[in-house]
Amino acid sequence: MAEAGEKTKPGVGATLWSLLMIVCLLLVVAHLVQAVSQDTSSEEDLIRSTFTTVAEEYSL
Amino acid sequence: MAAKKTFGWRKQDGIRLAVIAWFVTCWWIGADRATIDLQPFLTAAWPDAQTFEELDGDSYRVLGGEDEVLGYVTTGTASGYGGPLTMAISMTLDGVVESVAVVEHRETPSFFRTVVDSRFLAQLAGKTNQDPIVLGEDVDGYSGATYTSLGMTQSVHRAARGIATDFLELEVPPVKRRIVFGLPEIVLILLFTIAVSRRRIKGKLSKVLRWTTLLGGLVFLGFLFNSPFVLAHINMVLIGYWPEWQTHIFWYILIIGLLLFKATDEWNVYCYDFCPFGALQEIAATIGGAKPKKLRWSKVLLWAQRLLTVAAISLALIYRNPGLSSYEIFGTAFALEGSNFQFALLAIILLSSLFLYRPWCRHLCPLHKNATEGLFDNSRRIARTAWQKLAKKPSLA
Repeated sequence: MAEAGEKTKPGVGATLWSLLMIVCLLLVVAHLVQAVSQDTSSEEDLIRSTFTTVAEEYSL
Repeated sequence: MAAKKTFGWRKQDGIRLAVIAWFVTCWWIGADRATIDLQPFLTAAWPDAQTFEELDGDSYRVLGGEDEVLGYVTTGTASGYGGPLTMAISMTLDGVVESVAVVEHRETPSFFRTVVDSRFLAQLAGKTNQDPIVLGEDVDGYSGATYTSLGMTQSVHRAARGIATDFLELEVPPVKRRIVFGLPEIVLILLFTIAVSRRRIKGKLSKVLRWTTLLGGLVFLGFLFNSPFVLAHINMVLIGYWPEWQTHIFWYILIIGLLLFKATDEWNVYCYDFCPFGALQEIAATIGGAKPKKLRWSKVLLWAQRLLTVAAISLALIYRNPGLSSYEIFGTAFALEGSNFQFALLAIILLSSLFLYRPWCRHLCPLHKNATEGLFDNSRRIARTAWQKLAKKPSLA
């Protein structure tokens, strides 16, 4: 239903919108790269950032 | 003739099979990843210990000078929103949880970071074997990331009970099997019911009902509960992380409801009727008068969307982390959580929505039919044909 009434001949506007969508795709790729690089940080970093004791926050 | 058309080999079937084979390979690579190393936690929790005696895979007896037992360390695992969380705890001989830390998690990164930054974990350190350690009883949940705080609490609860009963022989309060069924689950059932009923109605009432579910989804699934359907849900199913039904009824209603609807109807009930981010874009479209437009390089954009989806699912399978590659900007829109890239993306999409009809759904969303239909349509078609054949088969009795 969403596709109903679509124009058939893309013009200059359509090219610009397409370029904007490609920019969005690149932003998604950049986000994924960042997410993966953060995930591969060591277990020690994860424990360091979440370690909590009764007495006080403790630093490794 | 019809059967031949349905089961006949199509050009796309090769791509479909290749993608499935690739997912299986990714799953296999992910299964081979290393296990948890507790050493950093052990040395942080017991800096004066002499020895850590391994009792089983993830439990240790902590020994001081002259082999004096100082306490125990173990881990507990429970489900968060996007995947499981594993926490380590250290417990003294009198049953006090001295320290806690997350040693591994597969939670959606934005939810995880929000809860950790809120100092939620400080509530868990200091609990004893006599405490229930239950969210909503002696632990306050973190609004906007309830499932993450629930997963952390349950992990500590399990670990604490494990040490108290297995090693210290201390008494623990009886476990109350709490079934979490509240407003989010009721709203979700209502949304499904209205959306399904609406399909049998035509005319103005159907439109009114559609806007009712859209706005309901926006307010409840978006802003209030921040629990939209995300790629992480599909990843969890593919990886095999099935959360406890007692605490994740919402998850099961969503997944089973969508699968059932997908299997029996062409209609994508979630996307079109109550996706909160879809609603946000439709409101913008109404304000700006946006219409569906055919973009240039539409095939390239379509295949880029599909490739992105395959890449995101592959990363989740390889890293055994359902939430890792869930790149949607729903949390960014409804809870202001996410990376800088996601905030930039959100701004572009919301502005574009004034002029383009649902740009996120049509060109980027991994859950939209554009991204997944090539993959799942065939199975649906085969299932439906098989069902129809079965239904037509005369009874043997």
